[in-house]
Amino acid sequence: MSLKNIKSSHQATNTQFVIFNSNGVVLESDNVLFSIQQKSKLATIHPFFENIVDMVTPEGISFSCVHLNIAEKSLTCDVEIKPIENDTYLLILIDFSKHYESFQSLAQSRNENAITSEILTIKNEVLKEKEAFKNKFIDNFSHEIISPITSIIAFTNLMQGTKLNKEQKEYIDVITSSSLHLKSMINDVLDISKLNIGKLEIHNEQFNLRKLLSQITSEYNYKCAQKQLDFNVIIDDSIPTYIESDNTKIRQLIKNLLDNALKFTKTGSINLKVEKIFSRAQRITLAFIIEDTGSGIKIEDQEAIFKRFNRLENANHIEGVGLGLSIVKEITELLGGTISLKSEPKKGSTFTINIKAKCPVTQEVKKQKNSKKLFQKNKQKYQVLIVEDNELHQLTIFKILAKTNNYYLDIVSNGGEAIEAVKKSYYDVILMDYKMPILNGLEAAKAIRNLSDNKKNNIPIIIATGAHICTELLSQKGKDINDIITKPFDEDMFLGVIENCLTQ
Amino acid sequence: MTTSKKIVLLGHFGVGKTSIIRKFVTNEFSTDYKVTIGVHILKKEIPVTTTDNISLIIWDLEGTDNVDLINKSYLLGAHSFIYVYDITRPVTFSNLEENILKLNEKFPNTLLKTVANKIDLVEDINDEKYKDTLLKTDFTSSAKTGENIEVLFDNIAKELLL
Repeated sequence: MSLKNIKSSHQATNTQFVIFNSNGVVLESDNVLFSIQQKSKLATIHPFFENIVDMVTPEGISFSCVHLNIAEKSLTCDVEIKPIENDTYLLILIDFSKHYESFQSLAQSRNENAITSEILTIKNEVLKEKEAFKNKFIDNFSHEIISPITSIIAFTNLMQGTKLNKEQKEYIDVITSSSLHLKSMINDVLDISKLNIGKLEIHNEQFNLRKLLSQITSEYNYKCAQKQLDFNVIIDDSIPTYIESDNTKIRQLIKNLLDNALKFTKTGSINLKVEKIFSRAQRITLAFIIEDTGSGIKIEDQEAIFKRFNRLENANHIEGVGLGLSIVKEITELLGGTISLKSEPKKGSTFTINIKAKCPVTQEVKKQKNSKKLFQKNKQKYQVLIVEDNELHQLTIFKILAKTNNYYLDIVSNGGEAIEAVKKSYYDVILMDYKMPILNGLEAAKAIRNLSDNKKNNIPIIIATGAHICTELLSQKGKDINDIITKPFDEDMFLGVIENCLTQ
Repeated sequence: MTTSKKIVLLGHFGVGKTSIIRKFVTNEFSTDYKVTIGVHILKKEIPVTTTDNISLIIWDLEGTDNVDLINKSYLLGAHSFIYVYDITRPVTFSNLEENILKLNEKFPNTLLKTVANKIDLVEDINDEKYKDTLLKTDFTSSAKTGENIEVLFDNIAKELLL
């Protein structure tokens, strides 16, 4: 068989030729695909042909992939229409149904995948928006709660220093304990909120690790004694005094794990061990090990305890919201460390945190002058400007400072008033709230630094802020501002920061 | 008297062009999505006045996000375009303005209507996020509930016979 014959035999099965006139009336059809009667009008056969003649150009017109259903037969065809002689037209229908069917299934899966992916992206964005809204709400709400708690803690501390009878002392102890617990829970929620939005940042600094451990030891000696538990601290002699890491977060990790041990240990002991795992070229890996003889954790629950809001069945009687260990894990990871747990029910648990830190060659840092000596030596009173819009906070700060008898105080309620006060008088230190109307603490500090009087533009400025220290604020520490103090502050810490600024 | 008019539905894939036509022509709706490739043509005759009917020849085109990619012969002789997008999928209306501009440039005399479909899936149509897009939209519709489907074609039919 010749090629020509093969070609015409192939075309004979999939191509139909129809001749029609300018009125769309069929003159002749070979009916290979569809049965089309002579003299029938194309427009009545299928709506595709309606007004088709109007579209035909002298060169002809072609359409691909047209779905035609004629005389109860459905085919997907490519269509060509060409003018031929004497006001007549040639219609060529080529059946590509099989080809288009396979294309259809490919397009179906491609489009479905694309739509599914789009919808997932949209849902994900909605979830992110909701999450951001929730985090913002928690952040704002917690900050609002922190303010009154600051006042409660400060005033209970002040009351503890007054003449109280035994019953009153007991009541004050309950208020103190409850407000400290509330403060700790809110700080947990704030930490989680900050972790969620990536606001919990690492602030590395050189600090005295042994001093930190000594402070923690004093605190937990007392807490363990109250529960009649032994508290043992074993610090490896080879660990350096000074390391460079995030002091606050390491303190928080150790305290969270010790608090956790305290919660779950009724009898026996709690041990804090600090060991050097590795040390080379100013790099050190430290292990903080917290052991207890508490209720222990079943092996199948050991992974779950690091998840947020997770509380094991046997922990229902324990106060808290189930955030402590998840925060420990997330902060440890933020510090580039690891946490592990070994535990046996009814025998106790051992949590080990490994943290990498820098180990400075010279184990010395600027020693702070002893503030008590400063006051004893000078016997002078210092002039302090307090800039705070919240009246309750004004009163709290006033009471704490007045009690020391070391300060003269001026109080103003916004940044603008602070600048005016500094222009009129000289102050030894300015304590300024961060969030204030008119000018915030940082803006006011910048304005004071820009004053032309060299004596006034160098006054130490301390900014008091909520639990969240923003990056903008941190970047100004040592520049426009001398120090930052976070609320709620306790009396000793508060006085320490002020005295430290005065001695610099 | 019956006049015949070619109406072409275009827009991104999966926006509900086929569903709008099915609802209008046969009053049926299915949530199953079947991709359109090439072109399907359907016809429906509706009365416009007591004496005049219009025969709408509706071309249901394969979805695309770029009108430049449409087979030009499909658009020839069109009396009206209906540009459909899915209000729940921003990608289907992200280039709405650009496509409308192109159609208006190439077919300045062809009636063009924009339709925000799947309105039944929107909780709050007054939500700020839809505001800008809806300002550029002639109709909101739901092929599922039938909302505004008849209204859309009636409106086009009347405008075409003016």
